[in-house]
Amino acid sequence: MSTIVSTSRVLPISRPTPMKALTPLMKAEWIKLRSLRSSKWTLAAMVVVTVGLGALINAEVAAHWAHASASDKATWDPTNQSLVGAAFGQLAVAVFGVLAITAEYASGTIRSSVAAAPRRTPMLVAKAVVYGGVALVVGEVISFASYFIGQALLSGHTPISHIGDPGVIRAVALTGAYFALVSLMALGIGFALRHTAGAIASLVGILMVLPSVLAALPTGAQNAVEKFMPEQIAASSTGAVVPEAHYFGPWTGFAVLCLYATLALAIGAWTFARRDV
Amino acid sequence: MDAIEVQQLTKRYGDSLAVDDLTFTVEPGRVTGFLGPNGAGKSTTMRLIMGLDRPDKGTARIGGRDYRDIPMPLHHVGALLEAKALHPGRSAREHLRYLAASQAIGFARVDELLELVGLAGAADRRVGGFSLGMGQRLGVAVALLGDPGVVILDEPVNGLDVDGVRWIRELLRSLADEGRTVLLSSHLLSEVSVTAEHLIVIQRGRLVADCPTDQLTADDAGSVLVVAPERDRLADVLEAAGGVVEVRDVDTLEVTGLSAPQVGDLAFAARVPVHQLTPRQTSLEDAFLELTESFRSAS
Repeated sequence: MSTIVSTSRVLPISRPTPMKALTPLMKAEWIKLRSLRSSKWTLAAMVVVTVGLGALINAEVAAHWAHASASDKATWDPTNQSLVGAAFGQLAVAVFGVLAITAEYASGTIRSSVAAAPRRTPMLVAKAVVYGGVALVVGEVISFASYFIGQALLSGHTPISHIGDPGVIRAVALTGAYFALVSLMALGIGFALRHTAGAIASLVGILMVLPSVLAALPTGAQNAVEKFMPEQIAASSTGAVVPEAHYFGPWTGFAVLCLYATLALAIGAWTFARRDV
Repeated sequence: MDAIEVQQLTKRYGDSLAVDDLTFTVEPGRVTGFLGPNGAGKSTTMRLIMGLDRPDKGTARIGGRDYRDIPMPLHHVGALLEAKALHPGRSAREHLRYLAASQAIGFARVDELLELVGLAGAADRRVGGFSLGMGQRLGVAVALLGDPGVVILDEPVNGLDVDGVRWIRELLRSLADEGRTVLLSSHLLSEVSVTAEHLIVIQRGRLVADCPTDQLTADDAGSVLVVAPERDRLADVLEAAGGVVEVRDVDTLEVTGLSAPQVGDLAFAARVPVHQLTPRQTSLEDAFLELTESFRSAS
């Protein structure tokens, strides 16, 4: 049975440096991502919902511009308006991030994965780099696509912005980054909760339900709290060109989002390293 | 090659002790059977060895190291822990490829293994459609992926057909012959007695036996059932010859320490009529059951 003995070359094993250890795990995560339909479907949904729904809404806004109130016209932010689809696409990218890990728990693949990377945290880091990286690339593409399609639809009906205008590239690029940060928050929550339904429900709560609950608060309290909501940061801080009262500036907002993602991943890593799988 | 050393290993799930102060060593160069009824703690022990679960007490080391301290561990330890620990939507090839990539193993090795386990034709099908037996074959491929010195297989025979069972027996033997450490669990003694030279038997998470396979059978060498109308006269004759005699019925004795031919010859020499003479070879299965039963009543 000489066939059992490997004939392929195996790299010599020494204690690898963190980066050397990470590269093979990142390759593994890339193969995992590519080889499942669910990743492709959630990414496709992210594209269609963000660009498609965004375009529909922008066409509506363009058509009804004549009836818009004076205050709406005064605070008109065509860049921000063109990125409106992100509010819907964020859910798809959240599902993408959650499934990256909860699907492993649901199927039992997690045991194979942990047997291959028993120190665990490097696997989480590799997953974050690969899934976050893919969400970033797709997120940037659809943000810029949304921007240009949006301006084209608004053009001729409303004042529009140009990509070279101050703050425009920043608003579009940070909207793309928002997708990546949501995927990382989702990944961290997925690692911590391990179950698809629970993790997605938590994210829907954080991203969609909590903001509408806050809307019921007295204005003072609302203004104090709302600016911390991830979805509000994307809509009113990082994705805005015309500054909005009571919200963070774009870079503060971005820092807060990064903090959330880091926190979620840290909690995920902490629980992942300690639990039985 | 590396040995598996389990020292005072203890694992508790809630109120129940799944593994209770377990100590044993699995030596290289032979197949070691890991036996126990379902729920005895075999899988838990294997998960502890593989670093999937953390022990509450004790250690499980492979070649002197905790599994977690082995960089790219699949080069040293390969395991089939449960069939179908696989995403149903992924193909066999992709599953092996992602594991290979994580250990810096070339994809040529993946194709080689798919061939070896007989899945080359089904390599690109989604594993959700695999039979249990195909899942087991893929599991074996996963275990052998890194050409490891230590191979751990949890109930690998489950779901395999007759050919598959023979195949896996030969495979395990040849792995042991190459000097590897092979640990093979089962809840059926008959399954491992053919392949394993050494047995570790556990029950309720505790060690019951750690001995060569043939010793387990030698300990219970069987008995002879004799039907004789002159029961007591025969009993005297057999006891005088060194047999241990127990009365089973008005005309029936069970004799241990003497073989059936010996009992027949002694009876003939003493001119005691014998109506029936039945050798009762304790099967390995009985020995195993007896062992775990007596352990159960003792604890």
